[in-house]
Amino acid sequence: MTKKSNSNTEPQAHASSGIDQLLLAALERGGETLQTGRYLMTYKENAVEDGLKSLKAQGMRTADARDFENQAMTLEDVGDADAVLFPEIGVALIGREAFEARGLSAQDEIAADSPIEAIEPEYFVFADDVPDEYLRGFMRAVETIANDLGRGAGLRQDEANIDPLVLGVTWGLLKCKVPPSLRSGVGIRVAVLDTGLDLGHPDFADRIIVSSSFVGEPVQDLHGHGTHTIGTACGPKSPIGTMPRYGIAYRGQIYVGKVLSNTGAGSTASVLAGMNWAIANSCAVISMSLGSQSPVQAAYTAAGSAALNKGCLIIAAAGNSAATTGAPANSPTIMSVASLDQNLAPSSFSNFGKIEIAAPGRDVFSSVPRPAKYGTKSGTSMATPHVAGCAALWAETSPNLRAMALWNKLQSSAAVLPFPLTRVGKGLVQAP
Amino acid sequence: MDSSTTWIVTTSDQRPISDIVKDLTRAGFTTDQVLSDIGSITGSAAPGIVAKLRAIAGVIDISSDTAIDIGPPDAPFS
Repeated sequence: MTKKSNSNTEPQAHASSGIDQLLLAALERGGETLQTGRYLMTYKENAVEDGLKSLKAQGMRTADARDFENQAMTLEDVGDADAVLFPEIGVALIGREAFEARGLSAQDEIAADSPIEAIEPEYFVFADDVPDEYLRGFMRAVETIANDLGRGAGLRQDEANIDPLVLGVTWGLLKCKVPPSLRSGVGIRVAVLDTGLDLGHPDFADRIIVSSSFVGEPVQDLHGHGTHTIGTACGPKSPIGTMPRYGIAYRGQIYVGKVLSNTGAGSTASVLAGMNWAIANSCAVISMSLGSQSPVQAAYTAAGSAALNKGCLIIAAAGNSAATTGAPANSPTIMSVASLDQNLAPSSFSNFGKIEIAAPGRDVFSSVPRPAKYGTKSGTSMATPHVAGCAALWAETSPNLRAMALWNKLQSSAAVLPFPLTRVGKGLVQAP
Repeated sequence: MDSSTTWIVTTSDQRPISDIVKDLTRAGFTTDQVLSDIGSITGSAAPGIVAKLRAIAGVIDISSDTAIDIGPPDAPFS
């Protein structure tokens, strides 16, 4: 471990901190241990100089890669700078202490005329030999350092049970590679057809919600299912308090279609009405965690086809009867989602047969109506909004990724799993 | 038993949906919703006239409305 002459014996997350220091600091802090504690500011195109001016205006000592030969700048050169600027890529790295001392936050609303495009936490990265090494790499690194310091005891070795409260993010988001994604779903309309939403839930207080009910009851979710699935698809980047991140498209435009009553009941007619509404409102992603064990229904197939022709992608739960895929997921024009357990094996309840893709569906933590606010549920209903959320992130990357092109991209970018197509489709959905 | 059932009529886009609605009404169908973005019409009719409705130009399918139930809030899987 590199020893730096530093009068402060506490591990720090400075711009100049070495990786070992960062890992130790993260361990000491607990909480979001996959984050280094530092922040990255991405500047808009041609806005790097304005970005540099703004850093200096905030009194940050900034090391600029251009001051070094061939822009080869090493940590030792950076010294005690608060920020490090990489002008070629338009990004500045800011140390944790410098960031927090100025009251900055990754949740800050960015002004339209700001040179900043995005503010995000910096994450650790690890050599990624096989899928799923991300977390193991982190655990191994932390264990090694702790052992060096004679503090090896007490570290969690159990990979099968990932504790979201320790990691700061749900296991499902981790497996879908959501945390390192630069995407937020901004500009993408995501319709969730379900039991509605708790419109007063604090985690959605800063979102503009468009809603409509098709079941003769107010949109307000008194069942819980809809609030949970919307949470997974579009929940906030940083939930209130110390809750782990559980939502994917945190800047997606939420369209709540209440097609199931507060007792969880609906019918094809109410669901079709919701699908029609979502398509009429140009929702690029339509998430449907519902269905029945019935053969293909012509009306759903026609709706799916209309959606695809209009740039919308309908994603539906395969069903939980450990039988063949139910409707609407069994329509050829609708994407069917199977559920996976934490070990990425198909969940025992998950339907099979016509399956396009798979996603986390066991013990999924997300929002539920007040007063509980948060809860854990299992089902292909939980897997479906993981796909919907990732679809919104992919849709954000290009206006060409819509409907069938988006369907194909989700499948081609999925992580391959050692199970048949009939169980997991093309594999585990991945964020861009 | 009810003399009328809720039906879901799926249409092709060969004809304007409003024309199909007119023909359905003339044949005894009571329209509830016209979902023009997805080509569906919901409504009620006595089961006996459904065969006649199916023969209307532009009608691809007529199926009875089916129930969906995701279970109560504390269901084990949903």
